[in-house]
Amino acid sequence: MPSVSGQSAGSSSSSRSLIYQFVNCRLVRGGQIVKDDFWFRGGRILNPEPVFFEEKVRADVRVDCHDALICPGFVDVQVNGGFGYDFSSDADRLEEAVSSVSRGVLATGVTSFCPTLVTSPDSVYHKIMPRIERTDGGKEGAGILGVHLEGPFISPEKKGAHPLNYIQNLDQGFSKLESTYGRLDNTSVVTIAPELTGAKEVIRELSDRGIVVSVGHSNGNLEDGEAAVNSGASFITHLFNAMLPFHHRDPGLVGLLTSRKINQPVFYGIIADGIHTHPAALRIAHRTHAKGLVLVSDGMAAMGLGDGEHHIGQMMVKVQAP
Amino acid sequence: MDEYVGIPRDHSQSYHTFMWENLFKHIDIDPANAHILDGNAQDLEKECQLYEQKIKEAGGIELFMGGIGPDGHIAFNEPGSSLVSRTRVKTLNQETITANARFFNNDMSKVPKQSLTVGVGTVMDAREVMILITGSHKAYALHMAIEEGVNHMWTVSAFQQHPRTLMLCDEDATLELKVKTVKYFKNLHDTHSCLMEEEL
Repeated sequence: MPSVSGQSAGSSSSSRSLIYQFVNCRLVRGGQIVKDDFWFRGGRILNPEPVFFEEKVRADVRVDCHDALICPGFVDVQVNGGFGYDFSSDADRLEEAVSSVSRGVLATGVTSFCPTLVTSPDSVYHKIMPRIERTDGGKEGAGILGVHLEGPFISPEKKGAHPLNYIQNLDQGFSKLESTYGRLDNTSVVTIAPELTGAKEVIRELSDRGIVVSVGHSNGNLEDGEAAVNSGASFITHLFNAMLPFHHRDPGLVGLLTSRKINQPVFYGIIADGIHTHPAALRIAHRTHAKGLVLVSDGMAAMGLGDGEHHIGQMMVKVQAP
Repeated sequence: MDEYVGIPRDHSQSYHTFMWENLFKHIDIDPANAHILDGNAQDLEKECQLYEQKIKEAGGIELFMGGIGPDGHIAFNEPGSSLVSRTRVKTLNQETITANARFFNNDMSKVPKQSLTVGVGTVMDAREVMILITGSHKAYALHMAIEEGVNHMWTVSAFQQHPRTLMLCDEDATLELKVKTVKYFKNLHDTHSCLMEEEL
């Protein structure tokens, strides 16, 4: 905003915005946590060195952060719900569910996420899909990056908490996927079991449309996984969970982390809560392919609440402290 | 106290960067009170004269604090520099240029060949001088600084003639000194401490 009133009082600064200096904080820089101050002006991160040597001014406001960690907002690509809301079964109050969760996750450092739908009947997709739009984040809530469709094209043997009776196959190819979901314009990620007949063509079509294909909830072997990646899949849904366990003669989807038969490096979601993934297994994944690691919460309706009964899609979940 | 000529101010090897990373960013100094020679000035000679003038206008230097190189240089006053030199453009000797190559991707064409530096005379005018010398690789320089005569091949030795100079060193830096010299200073320290306690 240009200002024409009066003369600038001896300052060479082109902006009248205040300079903030956060002190006593830790920053993420070059993959390391470093102790340094954090400067910004007018909503933009500032390099303090030229401010010192060229503008020759000090910060207008200094804030003691008491050793807080300052880092970019977290992105969670797998959130089924939270704070009592379940995206897959709360179609009647979906807008309320999305806004409540997006507001609630802010306190955890998440600034954008993918609302995730578990395996559901077609009618649920048709009702929900048009109503979850991509939105920018802000003070009022985290941004919506698009829907993560986890199912129904998954393996019945690796269904996890998904209802068996709504799992479907891809025998009829992409038209089946389109008729199931209704529309795809609000979709960012689709989890598919790569061993399904017709999966390769569907994966290619989805990735051509700019939708991230993730392999998971799968009984497939490494070859199935490699074929999927070479068809455009680029992600693994909650590594180790809902897939064949690592075996040295066929490492399964886990083997994608070190495979030399894929044409692009793969990313993988991992639930690092110490229960869904043992800390030792987490370290194995991190040490073999650190750059592909993506933390996901896989949070559901109970997230942010205490003990009680909650939905995840068509299933009831009882949360009880041990 | 010195700066390379012609490298970007924010280059990892610049004196500006060193001072920013190691001092200025950690303290609450008014940037207007920080003065570092500008190695990118249009007129380098003038920049040096201006620096001397600014020191004079500020009423002189109260405390000059610095380190030395293994060859006993103070600021960029390498061996052979005049002991009455003032702030000036200094051509670096081949040894320094070669040694610096590792900081510039071993690309000799990128290594600065000149610097701006305060002179030995400029430092001599400070009311107090404090030199920090640590490590065995600087032990010989400490020996030449205090056990031999004043010599322009070891510019730090000039401070033998400064009325208030403190050489601060660790045990490793004393390795080339005579036992007698080390004991002399240690005893001096003990006696001085006793006197201070009596005063209290």
